[in-house]
Amino acid sequence: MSSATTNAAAPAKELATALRHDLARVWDNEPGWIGQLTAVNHTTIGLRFVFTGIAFLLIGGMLAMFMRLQLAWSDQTVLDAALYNQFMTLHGTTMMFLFAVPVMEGFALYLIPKMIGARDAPYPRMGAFGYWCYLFGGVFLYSSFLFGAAPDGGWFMYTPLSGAEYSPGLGPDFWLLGVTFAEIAAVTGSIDLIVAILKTRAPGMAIQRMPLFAWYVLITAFMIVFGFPPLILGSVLLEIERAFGFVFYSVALGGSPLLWQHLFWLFGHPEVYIIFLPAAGVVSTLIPVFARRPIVGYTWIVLAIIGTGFLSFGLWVHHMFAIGIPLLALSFFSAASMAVAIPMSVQVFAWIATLWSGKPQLRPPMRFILGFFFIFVLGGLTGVMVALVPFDWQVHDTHFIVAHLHYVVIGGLLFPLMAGVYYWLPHVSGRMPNDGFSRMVFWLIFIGFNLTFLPMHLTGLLGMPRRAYTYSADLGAAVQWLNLASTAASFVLAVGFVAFCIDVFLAWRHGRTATPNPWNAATLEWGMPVPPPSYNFIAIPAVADRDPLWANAGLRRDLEAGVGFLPGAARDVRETLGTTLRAGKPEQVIQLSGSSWIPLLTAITLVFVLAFFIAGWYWPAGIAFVGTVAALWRWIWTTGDGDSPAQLDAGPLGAQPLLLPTQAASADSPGWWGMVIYLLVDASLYGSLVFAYFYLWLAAPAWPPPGHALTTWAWPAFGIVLLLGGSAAIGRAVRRNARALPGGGRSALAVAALLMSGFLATQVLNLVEYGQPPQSHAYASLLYVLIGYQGLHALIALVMAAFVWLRSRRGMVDAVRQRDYRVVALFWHYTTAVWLIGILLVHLFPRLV
Amino acid sequence: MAFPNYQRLVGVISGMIVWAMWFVVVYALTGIGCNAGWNERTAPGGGLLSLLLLLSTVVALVLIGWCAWRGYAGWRQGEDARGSGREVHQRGRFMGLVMFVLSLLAGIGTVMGAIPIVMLDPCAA
Repeated sequence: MSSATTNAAAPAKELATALRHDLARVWDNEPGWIGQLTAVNHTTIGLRFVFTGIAFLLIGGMLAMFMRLQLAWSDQTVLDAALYNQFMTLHGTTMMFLFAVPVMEGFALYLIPKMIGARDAPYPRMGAFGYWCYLFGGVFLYSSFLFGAAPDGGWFMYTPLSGAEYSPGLGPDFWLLGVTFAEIAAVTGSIDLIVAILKTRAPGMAIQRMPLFAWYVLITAFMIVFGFPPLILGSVLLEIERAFGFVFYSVALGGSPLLWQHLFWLFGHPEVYIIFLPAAGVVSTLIPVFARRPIVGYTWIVLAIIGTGFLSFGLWVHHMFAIGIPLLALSFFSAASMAVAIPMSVQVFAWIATLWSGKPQLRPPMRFILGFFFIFVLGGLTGVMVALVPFDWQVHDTHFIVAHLHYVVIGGLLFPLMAGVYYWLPHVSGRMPNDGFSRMVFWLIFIGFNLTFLPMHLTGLLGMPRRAYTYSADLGAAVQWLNLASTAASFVLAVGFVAFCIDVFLAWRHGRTATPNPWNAATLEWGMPVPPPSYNFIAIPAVADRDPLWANAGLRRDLEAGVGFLPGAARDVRETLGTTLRAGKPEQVIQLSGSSWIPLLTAITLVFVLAFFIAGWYWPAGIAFVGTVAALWRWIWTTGDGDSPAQLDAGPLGAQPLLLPTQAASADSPGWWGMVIYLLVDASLYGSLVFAYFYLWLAAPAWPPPGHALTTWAWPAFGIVLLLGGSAAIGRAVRRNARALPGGGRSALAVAALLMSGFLATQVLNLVEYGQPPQSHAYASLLYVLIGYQGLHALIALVMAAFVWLRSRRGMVDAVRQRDYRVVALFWHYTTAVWLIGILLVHLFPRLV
Repeated sequence: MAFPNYQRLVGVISGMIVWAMWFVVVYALTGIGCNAGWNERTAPGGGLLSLLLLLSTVVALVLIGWCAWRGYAGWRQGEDARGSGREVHQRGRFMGLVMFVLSLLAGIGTVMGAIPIVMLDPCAA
């Protein structure tokens, strides 16, 4: 029992101090460097993402400086063609995959729980695991330099250039494995953030009162859920093709290199908005603070964010206007590219209206917001220009595109990011930025950026190609001089970034001590001491307004005194409050994991898997993967609430008890929601596979090719009966457990597992009967991948069934704590549903066409 | 008919979901139709492929219009019922307006995308 809860009569200040003491004991990271490796707290992990992202920004920036030196004048020899291609590839890859996405996820991971009144994100260990995957993925990618095998096919890794025939070395393998490894962080982060925002908001923070930043992050996270799987699938297929000779992108045996482009840009264009929307969230958060009034058009901004999220998925072919697609199809994408300007403009108008009707202050963060306006609007305008097909054809593959994309990405992401760093610096460090130094940083970066990239519009229009290590002097003296100016200015930009890092470092160490809410902001993260304690809030506050710190003058005092839900750490366990989806009413007590080695160990096993794989040692890779599965098993087995009671008191101190279920007993547990969101990721990946199937069907002259027809219905028919029977058995297991019948649902679980094993056997027999090797044709390769996908899901379902069976037997699952059964049933039914599509693709469709 | 429901998050985005489905359908129809030579088959008012594309557009616009109406009704209902159950109505009003305007945006996106169907040969490269 904690010291605080035994002393309820103590004066409020002493009580709050005792609560803080208890909370710090439970929530602080383990001491020392070794202890830091076990940290899972969202504050620590979020900051690690941000710092690592900025480190990769500097590395990617250095690569860019070499490229600028090479392009300063025609026919330079600073870099040869091979090295230039490597630097160009890693510059783009670093900036997109290792800087832009992770740094914004880091911001979100650090801020979201604090903004919505939670003590941590719902899956702390998953956040830590994502960070290690990101770090190791980035290091894995850069380790390619040590082996003289840095990828050189561009950050877009187009086939056939990246295929085994034209890139026989390990370069593309480093890219495909390293980037996919790092992408795990994006996917795990998105699941963590979605469930955090939907299920752990402070009581009273109904959906119409969520901070705008939370809306931006929510939509961004959903975009990752649907946008990243196409690239993950494309990368997996390309790696399988390179390593095992399957056929997906090779024309000779029924594949198509354009399939890669589709899968890449199905990810690649939403990606632009995935990195822009959180940055716009920073803008929407900062403008009301410095305009000193609530945002104008909250509802309109929310619908604009959602609209942008949707429309951004209809733009991907505008990166492929020059590949020979029928004009009508191009026009669909051209129209969507222009339509997305509507919701984007709604946001810009709302920002201008807020500034117009407020009393703006030009503080350090605001300077970067104004810089963002100038640069991003220019990037947006050239974006509308290249959305027009005829104009795009003219500037395709020229430096005009380089100028456009840097105006969008640096304007849209980097300037808001720097604004955010200055704005939240007092929150993280407890110290204020220096106004004079930050002004110099701003002008260095603003002038350096514009003088670097504005000339590229002209050099592009004059015909200078991009993605090439040099250019012809025949393009004219103007192109040469403009390039020289561009290179000179890039040094100003680079000095600006170095100055930025120095400024932040100096402010962090020696800046003026910040007051708790130095900008007079309205959002909850400023309601805590700075720098923030590991537990964020002594008690979870109740919220009744969109701008809680402005609307309720007493809220800060209440927060400091520990007035609110779940005060202290009464049970010596990390806890936060779960609330309902729309109304934000208290619903459950979510018990969270503390510091743990498991995330790091799991990520290390994956490093071994990838290292063995890239070396071609497939058996050791398989053994290492068994280690991954074992680590994951241990991880899930030790979820924080295994032995806790089914109900806990979450009410404020001195108030009537508010008994709420723990997450294991809640119908809406984070575990169940996490599975729902994961299945959306999985379904998006499967949808991409279905797209690939139909795309290659359209491209192939005969489908199936001669000698590849499946002849028997016996195995698939038997298989589907077994699969449906398994689903029925799982349903029965859930019901028997809920009714507390003897043995719970264990016998039905065993039956379901038996039926699923039978289904797996029918799939193997089906492939034996088919008889063709996967390397023989794209049709065969797809058949193996579709059946392999199904088989993998069946195996996972079997492992899950064994897991729940054991938990049930140990008494960790019962009629009250049903979560595990519900989660496994969800996955099981999904596996069945997917095969209902799979069987149509594999067995029915080829017989019809 | 209470579907789609403006008080549910999926209902709020239903207009955009219809737009996304329409987008997939017209893009897939163009690919499959051109491959199968549907553009050369005649139908009332032009080629079969163009007709199918226009039909799918009409269906999408009707569904989006219905979503917009449901959103509008939710928004107005929230407004009219102000005073009783303020919290619930405030939320209903918010979600109804978001659903209504999102559906309008979906409608604009559909019309903008569909205009070239009547202007271009669907398979001209």
